[in-house]
Amino acid sequence: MKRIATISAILLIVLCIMAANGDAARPRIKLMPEETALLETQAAAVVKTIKISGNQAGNKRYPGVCENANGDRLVIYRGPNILYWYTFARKGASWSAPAVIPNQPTMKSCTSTDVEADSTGRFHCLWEDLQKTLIYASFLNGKWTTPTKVSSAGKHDMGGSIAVRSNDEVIIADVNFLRSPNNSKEIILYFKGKNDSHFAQKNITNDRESSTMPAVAVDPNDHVWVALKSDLDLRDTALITNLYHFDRNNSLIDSETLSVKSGWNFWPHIAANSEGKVMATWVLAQSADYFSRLYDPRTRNWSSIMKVNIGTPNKPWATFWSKLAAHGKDFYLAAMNSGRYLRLMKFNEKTQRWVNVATISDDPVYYFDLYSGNDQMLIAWDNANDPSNVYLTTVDVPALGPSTSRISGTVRKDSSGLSGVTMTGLPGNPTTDSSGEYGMDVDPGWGGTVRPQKSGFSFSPLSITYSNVTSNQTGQDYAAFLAIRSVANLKVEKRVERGFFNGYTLNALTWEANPENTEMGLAISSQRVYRKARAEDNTKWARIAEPAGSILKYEDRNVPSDSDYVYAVTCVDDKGNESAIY
Amino acid sequence: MNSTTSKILLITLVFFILGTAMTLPAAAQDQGQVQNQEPKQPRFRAGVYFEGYMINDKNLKSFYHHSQRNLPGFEASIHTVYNIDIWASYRIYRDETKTTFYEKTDKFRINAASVGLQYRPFRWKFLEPFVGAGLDFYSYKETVEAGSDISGASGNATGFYVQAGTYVDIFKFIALRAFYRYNGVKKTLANPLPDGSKSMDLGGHEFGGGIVVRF
Repeated sequence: MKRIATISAILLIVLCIMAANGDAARPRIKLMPEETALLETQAAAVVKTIKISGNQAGNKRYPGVCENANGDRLVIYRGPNILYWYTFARKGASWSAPAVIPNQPTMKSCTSTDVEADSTGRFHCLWEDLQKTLIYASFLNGKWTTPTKVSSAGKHDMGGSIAVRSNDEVIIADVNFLRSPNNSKEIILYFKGKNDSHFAQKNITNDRESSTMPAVAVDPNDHVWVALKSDLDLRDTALITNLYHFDRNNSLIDSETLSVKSGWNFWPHIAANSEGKVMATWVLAQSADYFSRLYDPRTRNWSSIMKVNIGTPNKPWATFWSKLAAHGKDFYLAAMNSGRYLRLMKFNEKTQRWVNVATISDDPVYYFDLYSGNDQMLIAWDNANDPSNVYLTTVDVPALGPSTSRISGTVRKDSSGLSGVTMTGLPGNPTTDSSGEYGMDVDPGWGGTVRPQKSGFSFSPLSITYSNVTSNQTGQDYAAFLAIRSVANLKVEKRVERGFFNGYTLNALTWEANPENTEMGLAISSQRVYRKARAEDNTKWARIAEPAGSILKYEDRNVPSDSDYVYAVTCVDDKGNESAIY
Repeated sequence: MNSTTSKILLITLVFFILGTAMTLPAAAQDQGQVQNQEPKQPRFRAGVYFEGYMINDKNLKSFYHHSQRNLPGFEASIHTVYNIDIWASYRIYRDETKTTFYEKTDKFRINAASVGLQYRPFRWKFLEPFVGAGLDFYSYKETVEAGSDISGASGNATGFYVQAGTYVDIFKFIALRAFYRYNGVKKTLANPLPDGSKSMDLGGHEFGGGIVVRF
């Protein structure tokens, strides 16, 4: 009786606390002493949790959340009677009443929701139904587009992910179920441009790998990153986490095996921050541990595998879900721990460790979604202990500030991208990647001159000048040419050509072919001789002759005997590229 | 030397020759016995000679790198009276070099003609000295090989000459001839030379010898 009384008293106290807080399920951080010792915890975050589902009867699960550039937020979730519902509210205002998403092709439950927003504020939503079909619909200003089937009906399986490029192209990663061999699965990317009516399709794995659980992200250069789980032997004994990296043209740049090649490495997630760094996480099922790796575009290397310390010894095979989001330069990870709680963590790049930010839920969670708002991290989650409600937790984070604009483009030599070109003038002087692409966020109103530089190359245009940049500047492309060198050892002698009665002064120029042009295999078709008076500035160069490439001299005849000319001789290759005057 | 001065000098020389021609016969009469003993002298003389021409112009010498050119000449004379001959000569002065930068062949040529009087005052043994003076008529031309931007030039110049020498009898109709001649031929150029000079002195010293047929 004494024990029962004690328990009752504790329950009473808890109920009182809940009553005092109304409906809000405030986070209850219940760190064990040993957990505290394991965690780095940053200063207490401002955390607020609200119920966002309506009063309709029945269970509600699988929420997805997103905030667009206008501050509008959308939460979708599976409602009762296997219907899909949504709720919508502008930030700071009250939430709208839940309503069903109209015209759904199937009303057979929904799972695996994912939501992204484009530059216009349109929300792009993805979910799968129980008929193994991936469904897509978008939402703007209170109106839904008609949901459409992305995958073939009945062919979808285990996971789907959506991302949006800066040009508002929607990218969906889908799992395609194959009957053979061994019911294997393959990953398909779907692309739909802003004005396209249908999705284009690109297979990125094959049936021999049997891949599922894709996660897709877009980096600031509009590269697409896909992390997925592959079953190498098709017998579920070697599940690895693989990564595929595509350029803006959706051409594969490289791939990487992120996990060790043993165990059950699955449910990968991925996010790219404003610096173009890419974080990937996954779960090793048998130890119930989360792992992460960070990709640095400057070094083009992945970090070593970092174990994510979420504080509590996990229950093997019980931990299976996490979500990543980038907020400016920061990465946030929301992860479940054996159904005990849902925790938000932040990556500390200096210490290379994940730091606890807040515990979102102490209750068991089936499914949740994480999204980076302007000044809050948004976590929508369902609750096994309260299945009739869906919750939204906001965690205050530093505001991203005024929206930056991105200047991006490609440097190409002939038709191929040229890597390693330093874009001087942009903040941080970024370099082009292996696809020749570059990109950098600039502050509102930024101005400056961007000039590509790489030893041995010249560029057209030489530079681009910006002023008061307030929107994304895409397609800032440059053409690269092998930098033809000008001639070597140019010498000028003032000489006189005379007979007995007549004569004149000439400047005799001699030079040597530049061996660097020969080394680069350049065919010099001609050379251009420029002249200016010594006192004139460099804009006054006048072309006075263009001897053939094999000629190594030129005489500037009939110059005034008291002239003070200086000369430059450039080389022109068979494509018309000319070396610089210097 | 300007043209007026040249004319005065030439006229003076002509009078000098004529005067000499007038006075020398009297002297010759003093030797009339000797002369009377000689057969009638031939009326015509024609010959060739080989001479050295030391041109005065320093620019020519500098540019063509020669202070003297050796050249053949032709001469002819007609005896008039009192051992005075009308004498004429023609020779071609040639020089050649390369232009200074492109090294194109640059040729210079003077067609030199002289007309004047020659007086043979006496004969002593086998020697028959003479003096003479007259006018020089020069035509000059520079030719530059194709490939250079330099154009040649040509022109004419006049001047005077004085000369002296002797015939040396070999046979009745053949004699040797040795001479020295000085030419005064200057030209003012319309366009200056590359070094800025505006005058050209084509005259100079000639000396040489040859063979003369008398008939």
